[in-house]
Amino acid sequence: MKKASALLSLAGLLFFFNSCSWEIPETVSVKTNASYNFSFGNFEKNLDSELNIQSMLSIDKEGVSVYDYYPQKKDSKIQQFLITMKIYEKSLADIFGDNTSLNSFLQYCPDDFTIDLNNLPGGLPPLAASGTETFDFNPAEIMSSIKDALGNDFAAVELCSVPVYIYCSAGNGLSADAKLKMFYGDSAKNSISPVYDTYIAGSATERKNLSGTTLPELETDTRTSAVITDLAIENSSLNQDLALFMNNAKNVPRSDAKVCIDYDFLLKGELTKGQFVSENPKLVVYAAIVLPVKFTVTNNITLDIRQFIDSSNSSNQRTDIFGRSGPTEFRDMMKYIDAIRSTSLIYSTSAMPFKAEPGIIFSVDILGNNDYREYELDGGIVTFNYDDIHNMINTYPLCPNLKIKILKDAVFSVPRTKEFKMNLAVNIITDGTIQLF
Amino acid sequence: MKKILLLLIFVCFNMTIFAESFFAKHRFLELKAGTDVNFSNNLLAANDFMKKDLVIDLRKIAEDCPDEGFTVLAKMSPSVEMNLNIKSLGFGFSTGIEYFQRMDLNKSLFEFLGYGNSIGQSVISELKNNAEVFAYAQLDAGFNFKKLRFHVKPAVFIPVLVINNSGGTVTAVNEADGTVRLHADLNMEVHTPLDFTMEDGQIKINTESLESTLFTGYGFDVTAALSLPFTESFGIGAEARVPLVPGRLNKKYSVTSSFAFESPVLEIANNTYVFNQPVVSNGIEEEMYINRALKFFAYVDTKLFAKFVEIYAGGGFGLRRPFSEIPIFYPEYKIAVTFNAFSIFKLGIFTQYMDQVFAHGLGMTLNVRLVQLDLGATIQSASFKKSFVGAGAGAYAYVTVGF
Repeated sequence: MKKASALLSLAGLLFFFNSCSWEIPETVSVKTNASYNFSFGNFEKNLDSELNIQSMLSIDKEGVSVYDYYPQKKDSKIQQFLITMKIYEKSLADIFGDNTSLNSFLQYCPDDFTIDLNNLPGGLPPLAASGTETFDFNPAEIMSSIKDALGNDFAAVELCSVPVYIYCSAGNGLSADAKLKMFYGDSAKNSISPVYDTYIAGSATERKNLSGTTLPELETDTRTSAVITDLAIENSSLNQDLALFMNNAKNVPRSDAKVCIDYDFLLKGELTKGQFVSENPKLVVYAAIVLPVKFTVTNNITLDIRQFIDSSNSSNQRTDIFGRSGPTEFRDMMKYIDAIRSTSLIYSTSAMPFKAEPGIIFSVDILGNNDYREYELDGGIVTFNYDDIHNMINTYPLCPNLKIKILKDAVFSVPRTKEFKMNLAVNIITDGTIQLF
Repeated sequence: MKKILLLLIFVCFNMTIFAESFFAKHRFLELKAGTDVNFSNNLLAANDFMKKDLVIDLRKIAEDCPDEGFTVLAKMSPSVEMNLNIKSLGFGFSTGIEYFQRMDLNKSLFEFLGYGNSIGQSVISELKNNAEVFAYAQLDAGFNFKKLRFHVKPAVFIPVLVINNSGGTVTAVNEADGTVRLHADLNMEVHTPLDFTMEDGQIKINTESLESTLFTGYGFDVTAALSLPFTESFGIGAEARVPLVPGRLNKKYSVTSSFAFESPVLEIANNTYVFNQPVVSNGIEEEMYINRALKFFAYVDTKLFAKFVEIYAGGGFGLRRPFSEIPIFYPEYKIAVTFNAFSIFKLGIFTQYMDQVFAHGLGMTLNVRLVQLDLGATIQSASFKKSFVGAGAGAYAYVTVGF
């Protein structure tokens, strides 16, 4: 009981002693020690319009078709285009034309007479076809559209591979020997830079035998209208990689140069006069060029994110990132800023309009003085400590540089979904006292 | 020296006997008036704030905030009573007002300020308000039966105003996609038998029908007290208040409003905010029944050192809003030690948990027979820890006159 009394007495005394130390506050401060997180959400830019089939390949020529190419709908990481062109289509009769020697020969020989095209009777010319066609496109246009969409640095790229498929058919067991030469031609289909002329079949002095194949029926995806037939696994008369030729496009001195093909066919095989006259077989030649938008980087590429996101901002018109009108505008807020120990930008990139192997380096120069710190582009945390924050506040105008760097020799590609999507959040850690009054 | 000492002891002894028979004796007729006033919270202590350089530590506040949130309690009970004592019989009449209010703000806001947040985490600030105002009139009949002392106190009470879990909620969230959602609801409901009208933006009571409206909703309860003095210096007792007929409130007034906002965080400055004007209802007929708290309390009372020291200890429980859908049960205790100088002057200290508040106080009684003055002050809080550091305070003052 005595203890209880003593305890109660102590409580009473405590109250009075406590109250004796009370004072009217002269200053009021708030002490904070917390971790605040805010999300700014997703920053998105869709580049489908900038990197669509029309902008990358503006071909307007009868007989040339351009498709969005998505073979077997397998690899969405690389945008591919397919260009098909009928190079040649003529019946044998038309090839011979009004050849009087041939007509006399046919008039007097019986119907079951076998004509050996390899060894025609004397006086008859060999059954040959030659000419020049243009694909009406320049691979430099593809580079140019990428450059326009992503920046000038993206000119330092070369196509990795450009498969070309030739389909040659004459029917009736006939085949053809061919010389096929690709070149950059002018509007009259004359070679502009002969040094870059490339034979894809045969050579200047001899022809190459092409097996008889026809262009496969192109199956399209009902939703996207993309061609999904995989030409790589279909039979073709010729299969070549045109990457080297295509990459020379940027060295061709004239911008109006177009990819052209010079062909020279010599038909071979046997057929009867009856087949020749009644069936009138045709020589049909198609070319299909596959253009994967996949490049090897020939020089370091740097993309300015700030310009990229807000294309209306030119580098000369950069404004303060905080929107300040003067260097002292935050002076009243310094007591609050002083309580911030660190600020972290947490970013996560879920979609990019390009991919690169090895990875893309994200560089941040927060003060705009070319002092870059490098981060992974896929996701990461950019942390600014107390000193960084104060340096930012003391810098006016504050124009941070955010850059994406792709190193030389990396393989760079444009995916089918061409969008930029970055989620950005901020973490603010406070630890300090703010005097309010 | 020994003679002087013996003389002093003799004088004291005789004074004690005289004081006991004169000052401690019940008055034949007495009139008592006074009130107690109490205000406290369970989080913010005056000791923390009454400083020359005040630092509000948001982390510490969040750490100290109880799981049930921040609670503010207010209580007042002015009363007037008259007692007539004829030998062992006693009759009394008392009337007064009982006011109790409790406001609760949940912990979410303090956690946000103190610890921070994570993305997508909702900050839900919920304010709940509970209030009760009763007017009552009570009779008291006391009598002895053998060694037992009985008191029966039937009371009629009128519930003047009840606020039942009314308040508002503000919910804010910043989603991972950058969207900021803000939603606020206000729904303040006041139950009362009074007839309020809104004139020129001011709330007025229709006094013409005041009497009739008040007295149509009264209820009854009864308090029974029993004490058993085993000796002159040791006794036990118990007291219970039992509701009999609930009081009725037949009108409900409400103020409702809501606000909703949603915007990407970077576009907040470009958006406009539209607050809905609060809708104030003119009062709808809706009955609500309520009782005063049911209570039970038992105690031990002992006097030591020739009655110079009185020790009182008791415990019990209360049940606020008994027989309702949301009764609130709470235990109660009181321990008091009083130094009694001839029943003329008493000085006591006590600690208690009564009506959901821990209180520790100092009380004083000055009794000159014709006039008695009871004064006291407490520090208090709904939180036991905070009740010692000035999170709340209370006081009482009663004057008794009689002969």
